[in-house]
Amino acid sequence: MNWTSFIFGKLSWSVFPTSPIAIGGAVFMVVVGLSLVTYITKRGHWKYLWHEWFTSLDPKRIGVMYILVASVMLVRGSADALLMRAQQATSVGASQGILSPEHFQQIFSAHGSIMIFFVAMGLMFGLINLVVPLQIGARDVAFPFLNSVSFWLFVAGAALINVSLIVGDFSTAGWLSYPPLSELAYSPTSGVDYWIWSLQIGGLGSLLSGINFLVTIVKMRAKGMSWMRMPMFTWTVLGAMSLVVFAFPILTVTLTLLALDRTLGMHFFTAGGGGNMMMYINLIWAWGHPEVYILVLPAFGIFSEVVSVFSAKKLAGYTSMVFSSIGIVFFSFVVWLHHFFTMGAGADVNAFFGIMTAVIAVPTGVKMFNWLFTMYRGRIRFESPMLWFVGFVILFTLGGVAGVILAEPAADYQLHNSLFLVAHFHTMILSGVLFGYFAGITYWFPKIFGFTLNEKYGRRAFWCWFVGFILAFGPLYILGFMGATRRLDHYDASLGWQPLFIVAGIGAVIIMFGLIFQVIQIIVSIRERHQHRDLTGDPWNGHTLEWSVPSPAPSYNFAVLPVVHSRDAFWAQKDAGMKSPIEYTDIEMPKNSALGIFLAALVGLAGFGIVWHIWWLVTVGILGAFAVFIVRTMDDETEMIIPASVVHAEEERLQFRGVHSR
Amino acid sequence: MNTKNYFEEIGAWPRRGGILRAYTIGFILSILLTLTAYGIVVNHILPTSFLIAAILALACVQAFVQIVYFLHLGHGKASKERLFALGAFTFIVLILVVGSIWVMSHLNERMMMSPADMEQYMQRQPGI
Amino acid sequence: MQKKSDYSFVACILDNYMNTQTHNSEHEQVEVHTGSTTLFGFWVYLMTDFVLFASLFATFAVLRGNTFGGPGGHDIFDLHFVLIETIILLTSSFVCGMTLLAARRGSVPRVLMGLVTTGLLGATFVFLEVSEFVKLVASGNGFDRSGFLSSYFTLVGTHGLHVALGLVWLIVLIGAVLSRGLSESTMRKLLLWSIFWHFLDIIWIFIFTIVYLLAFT
Repeated sequence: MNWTSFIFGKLSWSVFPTSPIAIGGAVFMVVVGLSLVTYITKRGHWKYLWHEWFTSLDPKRIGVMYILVASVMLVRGSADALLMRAQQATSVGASQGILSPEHFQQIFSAHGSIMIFFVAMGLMFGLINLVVPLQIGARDVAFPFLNSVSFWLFVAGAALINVSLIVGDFSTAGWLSYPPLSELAYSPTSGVDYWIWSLQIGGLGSLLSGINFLVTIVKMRAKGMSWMRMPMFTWTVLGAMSLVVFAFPILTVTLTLLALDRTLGMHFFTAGGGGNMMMYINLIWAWGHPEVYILVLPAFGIFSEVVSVFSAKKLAGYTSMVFSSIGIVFFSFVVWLHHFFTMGAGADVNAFFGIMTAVIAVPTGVKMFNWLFTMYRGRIRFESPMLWFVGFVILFTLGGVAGVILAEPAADYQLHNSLFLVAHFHTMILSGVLFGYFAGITYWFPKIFGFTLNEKYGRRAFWCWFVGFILAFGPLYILGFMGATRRLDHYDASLGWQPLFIVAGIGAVIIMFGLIFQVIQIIVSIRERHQHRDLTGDPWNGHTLEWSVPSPAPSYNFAVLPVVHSRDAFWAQKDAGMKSPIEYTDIEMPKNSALGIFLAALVGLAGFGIVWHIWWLVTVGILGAFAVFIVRTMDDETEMIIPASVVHAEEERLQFRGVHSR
Repeated sequence: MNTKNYFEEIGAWPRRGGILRAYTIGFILSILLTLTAYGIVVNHILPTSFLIAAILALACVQAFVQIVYFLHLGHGKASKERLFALGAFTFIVLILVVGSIWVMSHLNERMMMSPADMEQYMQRQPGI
Repeated sequence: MQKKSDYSFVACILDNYMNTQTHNSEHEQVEVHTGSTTLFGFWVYLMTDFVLFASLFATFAVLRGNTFGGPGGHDIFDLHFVLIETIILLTSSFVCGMTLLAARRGSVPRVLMGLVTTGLLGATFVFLEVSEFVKLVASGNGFDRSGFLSSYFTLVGTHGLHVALGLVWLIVLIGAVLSRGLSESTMRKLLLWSIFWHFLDIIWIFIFTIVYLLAFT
């Protein structure tokens, strides 16, 4: 073996992109990245960023970083979406559009992978980090260092998928890489390997977070917070984290088996050699269906919080909400075959899964009715979190009904892999997951940053997303019924589909304006922050414990750990109007640590090494990661004390005078 | 530091003691169950489907023995959480494994047929 | 925003730990709570490992018959050999338990003896398994021969890899016991490691049954 292939593996000069749009994307990303680095260096911010943010084990800091990274990935995923819409609006008849078929395939694969794994999961874990410890009356999560590791693994996965834009290509096999297309014989380039390892690394981070937050909610609730006194968001997060620990190991295995096929020539899913491609689809969806419930459950929880606070009423049907969340967790495990009704398992199997799929709509319906009952006779304030909720109710109900149509196997034979399906799941994810997370970010923003977001731009963003969504996806439902399949890079002019695709393209542009308004909203809000300071810690008249601490919340969350006596604990405290004398004690908090960054960086490098067969890099990466981990476990001094006097001074500084009365 | 009660304090071991006894019983039972399973297979004592059921049952019993006697699960309040988690995960695992085998065997049966078998299968379907 | 880095940590810690004796019992309470939280967290991780193995078992069940003209289980497995492996691993699980009992009694020499013995048994198990694999690869029945062999090597190999990692953990633990004795954190690590070790033996019961015994029914 010669030296270059030992050092560089399969890397060569031909790995860089050659098409104009691909070069454009890569150059843009490099330029933005370099500008950011230059700006930070010039302003001398590295020390601040390193000590206050990167090495912090404070879940509030980690949460903000998750949301920032996810937002950046949202820009990349949206760029992919706009390119796809542009292609499908123009690639008719004689025109081949703006993208080659192969490039189009990479784009739709990247779009789905990025949006699910790095946008939705990132926003979700971001919000969970920000809110859950505060809501349960705890100071931190169960395993703070693991929390940091999870975040940096998430970054490593995102980095790997971004590197694929510059070095090599990306998978053309869709966001789930079905074999045999994803096997080496039909995808010999680096693309599928990038897909496998960025998801594997990001997925590991998710799994570790799932364990972390599950244990946090089970073991670290405030004294007196029994199960049925937990806030609804915490309940749905518990459900989602249970799903994460149940389902993500399946993804780990499935990705590994595909990697073993590609790297070591094994025959799990190959066409030949005794492989069974259908087993991949079976396993990937056994993970994939729980995954979408992982994403949507916390969004449901956010809506429960928002609706009850902005209607000034307690949540209707708390018990049925709890049980429907548990029901969703259970049922999400017995529906996975509905993603491949047409694969030929027969009527018996299809019937079972079809019925289960129809049944799973019921607990969601229960939730929907409870939210509406909560609004009934409430004193409703239609600030932007509520707008996101109303948009959700309308769109998610319609999209959900489309889902029940698809749940019927006979109907699904017509609609499987059509644009009807694409419209359905985008409706679920945009109006359910994304609107929910946007509402949550607006709602909890003042708690983390100490000032509220600009309401005017929030409304503009909402209307753009809402109208844009209807224009972008309404036509897709119709096109699906007309026979249009997904992932089409070109179609015949005689089909008459183009006008609908053009409308969809316009809708996508309007959504883009929604995103732009959200960016403007952040900038304007920061500029106007002094006018919109949250001085009481409770800008919305909230019900739950996070509103009982000052804004922005101090690093230790609670100067004195709360004792809970009922549901909606803070509301009850306000009602009672008691001002208990505050006795400050020393607080033990985790010290910062850089080891999470190092561990994730080594794992990321190992991932890059596997993609390009740079085996020495893989070895160094994996052994190094283990070494860092062992070093960490041998460290017995991971905590520091914040003396009572400092806590006192901090509370005074944040101008907090104790529990308010209502 | 006083190591004497650490495992009991954090809820890993039962407070009532008898750990040595537990490990010894668990070990002996596991050996016996292993040898039994080995013995009935090597000597083919039962017809095939009973044999399969028997060794699977023996495996489940041995797993149960080791969970109770080696992992000390099920003794008290503190181990209840772990027991609940184990129960929930076992349920999920059963759905995954049994479900996958059910689905895949149906797919295999219907997708891997030879043309002649396919012809026969189609003839038996009502409405064709 | 508050700057933790501004506090003189060393000064704070020294001041507060040296001057306030009343914190000791509270500190121990915190340790116990931390210990039981860590125990539960580790257990949840083991449960995810359970699902991981279950997925591999499901794959093995589906690909069992896909021998692609090559050998099946009954052609290549030696039940006698596997029985020996099983007894070795089972014994190591028992010795592991004895080690924890010694730790509870505070006896460092016995703990070390127990750890070393468990390690030797575990290493023997891994060695035997690797030799089985090498033999198969050498005879042309490696993991790339068929779907059956791919799933066999991966399922059994993943278990073996877990055992090997448990041995690495064991070595680190021996180091911890030697350098720090049976401190609270070492006790906690011993406990977690032992649970991991027992768990691996439980998984092996199912490998022994479903991979090896089932091939001969």
